[in-house]
Amino acid sequence: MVLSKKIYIVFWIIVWLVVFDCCINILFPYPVDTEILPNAFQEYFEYGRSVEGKIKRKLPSIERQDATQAKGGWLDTNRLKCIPIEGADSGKLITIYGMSHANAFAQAMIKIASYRIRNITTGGAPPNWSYAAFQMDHKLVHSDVAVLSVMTIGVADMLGTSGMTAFFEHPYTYTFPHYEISDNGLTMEMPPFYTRDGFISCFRDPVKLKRYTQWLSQNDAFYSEFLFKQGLTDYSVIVRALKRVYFTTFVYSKTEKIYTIEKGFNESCNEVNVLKRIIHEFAQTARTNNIVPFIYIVNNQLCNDDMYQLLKPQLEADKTPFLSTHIICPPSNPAVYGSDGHFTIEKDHELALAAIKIISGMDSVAPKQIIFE
Amino acid sequence: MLFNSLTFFIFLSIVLTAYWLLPLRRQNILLLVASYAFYAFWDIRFLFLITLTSVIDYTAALIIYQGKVARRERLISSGWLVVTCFLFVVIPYSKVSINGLFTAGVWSILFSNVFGWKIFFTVVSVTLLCNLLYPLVLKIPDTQRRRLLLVSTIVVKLGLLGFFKYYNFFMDNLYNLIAVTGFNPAVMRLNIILPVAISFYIFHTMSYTIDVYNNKMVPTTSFVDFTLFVVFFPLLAAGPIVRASQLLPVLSSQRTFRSEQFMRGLHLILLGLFKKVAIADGLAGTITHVFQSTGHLSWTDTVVGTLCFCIQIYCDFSGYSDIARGISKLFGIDIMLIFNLPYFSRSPTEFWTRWHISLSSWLRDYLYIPLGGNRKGRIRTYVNLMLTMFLGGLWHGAAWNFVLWGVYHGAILCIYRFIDETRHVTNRVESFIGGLGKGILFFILTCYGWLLFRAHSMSAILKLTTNLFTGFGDFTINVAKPMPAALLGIPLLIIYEIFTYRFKSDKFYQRLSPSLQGFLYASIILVLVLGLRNAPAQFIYFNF
Repeated sequence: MVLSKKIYIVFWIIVWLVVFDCCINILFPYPVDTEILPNAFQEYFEYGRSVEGKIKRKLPSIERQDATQAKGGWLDTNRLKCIPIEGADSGKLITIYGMSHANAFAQAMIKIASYRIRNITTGGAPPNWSYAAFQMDHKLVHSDVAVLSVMTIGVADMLGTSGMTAFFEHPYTYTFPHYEISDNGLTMEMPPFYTRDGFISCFRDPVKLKRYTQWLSQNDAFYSEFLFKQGLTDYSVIVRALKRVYFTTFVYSKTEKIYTIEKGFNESCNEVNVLKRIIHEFAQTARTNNIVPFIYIVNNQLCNDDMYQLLKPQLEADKTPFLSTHIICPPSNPAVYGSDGHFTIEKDHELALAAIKIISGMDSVAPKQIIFE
Repeated sequence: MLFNSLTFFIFLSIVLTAYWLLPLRRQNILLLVASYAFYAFWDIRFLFLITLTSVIDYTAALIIYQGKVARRERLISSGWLVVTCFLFVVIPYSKVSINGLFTAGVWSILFSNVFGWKIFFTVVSVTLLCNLLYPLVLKIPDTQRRRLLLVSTIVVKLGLLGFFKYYNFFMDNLYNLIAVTGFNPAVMRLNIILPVAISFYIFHTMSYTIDVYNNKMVPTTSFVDFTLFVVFFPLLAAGPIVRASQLLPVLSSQRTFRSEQFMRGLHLILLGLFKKVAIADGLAGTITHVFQSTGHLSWTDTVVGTLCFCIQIYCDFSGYSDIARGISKLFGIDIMLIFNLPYFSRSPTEFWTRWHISLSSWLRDYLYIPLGGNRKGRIRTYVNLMLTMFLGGLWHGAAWNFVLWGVYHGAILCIYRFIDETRHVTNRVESFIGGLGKGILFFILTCYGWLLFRAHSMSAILKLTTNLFTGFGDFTINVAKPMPAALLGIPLLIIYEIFTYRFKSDKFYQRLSPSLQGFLYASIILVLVLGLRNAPAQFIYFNF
């Protein structure tokens, strides 16, 4: 092969890559109108856009309060006060804190309508979000039962402080505190903003945004300037795809120290110990405030019953009632999961029934172990 | 250090740059050191096993061929064995740290590995004994000595393979068998770690000694060249099982940089990464869902899972082989073709000339033909085929599903042979279903074979098989969808392979114009970039 032919080939590779890049951008443009939902391809090729790029495009609709992702998740006392009570007209009030799995579980509880339900959930919420939500909420509205939801793959997300950094591909706008174990229990580091107004103000003001990214670089393990900041690289499909790869590797390098499907939980890591402490403090705080604590343990697909095994000793020691999904929804059975990785509606209904059975057996806030088998 | 990792490509770049700056002898020493370092990334302790097999075959082959080993070569190989035993077995690397050296001290760390020292003294004793017995061995008549050495090396190596790979499997089955009679003996299960690549380098070295014994090749006197032949890193982890007669002459002679060969190497690496990263890893999630499922699976789930595994194992292993061949070419070394469009086969015989060619030809040359091949009558041919495929299945792993897979393929080969021998039936069948039909039929049979191969237990095989034969009509899909890169990559690969088949050459792309070649590479790069997001997985054949 003569040198000129090799140069031609390299030239043509570059030309074709540019052509592919442009074609994909033209064929699958992300809808400018935030009212229009993107199709699967549009979504797929957008995953690698910078967090700032994605957020700024949605900012006008967030300001109009019509962006789905910006609606939930704010740890805002005004919002928490307004969470409606659904389900039965009377009876015990159950408040459920957690992630999308908890939302589905709450919806199933509402349908059964045995109890009054408050659903304080948001997509991807890690345990520190749920615990912070409980800490704020129980002072505003008194519930009879508080359900704190935790899931296997959510423990590693405790390294972050925002749905923007932990979920780069599909960023959630909410923020949450970071917890550390101290002599007096848990210490909390709150992010610079945790309300929608604070968020909008931050992203509208370059100075505030700069200050926020500086704070993230010091307090959020998932923060990466390359992934967060908007730039020219956002225009190329191929660079966006490479950014996704970087994100995956970057996040995995952090999360593998906490949990992997192959090795399970690393029980010596800080986040696992913080989680156990959160579970303990949650039960204590709830009981002190005459609330029955309840833990909803979600064992994610293919993750065995690792989450249940991790928390079982702590829950038994505290005599905290709980429901672990692995009995009704074995993590190795794909039939119990929908295409998005959540449980099927039927399974959520079964889980809700199981939870109701346990809750109905709780006649007081006193520690009592009820194991669902 | 996986071929599909960034660490490996940094390692490769450093080795490759240094390699082309050095003269031949130093090139081989560099490759040897690099290969040892490459293996040490997995588990440094098992490097000693490689050294042991290298030394055994090196000396045995020389004695078999020339009746003696020169004093210098004996000293080098004996010394190397003792030194590597100390380096790889005695030193407890997991306990060594700079801080540890200061706090605990060098000696306390060195003497902390009691088991390592036991092995070391055993190795030193056996090495001394072998050197002492050497004059006695020379006195044995030539024919007997040659046979004794051949049998000894084969026994030692199959013993190592049997211990590390099959001990627990055989013990478990033995106890299960004894338990049937009512006895319950104490279980003697050992916590054995399977050394990476053991099946490959054992077969590598066995073929060398057998070829020397059969006067098919002249053994090398260069210990460095031979050791490099055993551990050459592109081929170490999962083959191909290259014959010494092919590789040793290349390693012993001057390599020159040829841009043609270098470019071909890059092409193969790119193609291999595309197959592995974009397709094989992109299908992994779907396959895991099906084969690790404990719940209900529909007929479609089972079919999709099996079909995905059929593609995955091909892309995973042929991808690995392409990368291995590509890397070898970067070093100026040509390696045999390992996969030649296996799913284009129209018969089981053709399949085994296209799939994992280095293993199937090894089994043919060192097992099937020595057993008598097809020269001893029809029944004996069937027995030989079944035995070869049974052992071929067992070679893949110590589990009944691999045995079943081997027996299944053996049975297909026998049935095909029987039909082929009965000409009138063949003609009728051929006229009925035609060539394409035969290809499709055999592909379906191959797919079912992969189901046996992938299922983790006999109960899983039973469940999936029952599902296939009785569950037709349940078309619901519960399993996760393959990754987009895999969905884009599979059609691209099919087109690539159809062109290879039509042009009867895997270099067909060289005939295309620069713009079309650019289009091909840009398409592969684009899908590969999209596929880089897939969770990286170890190559399947690393387990064997």
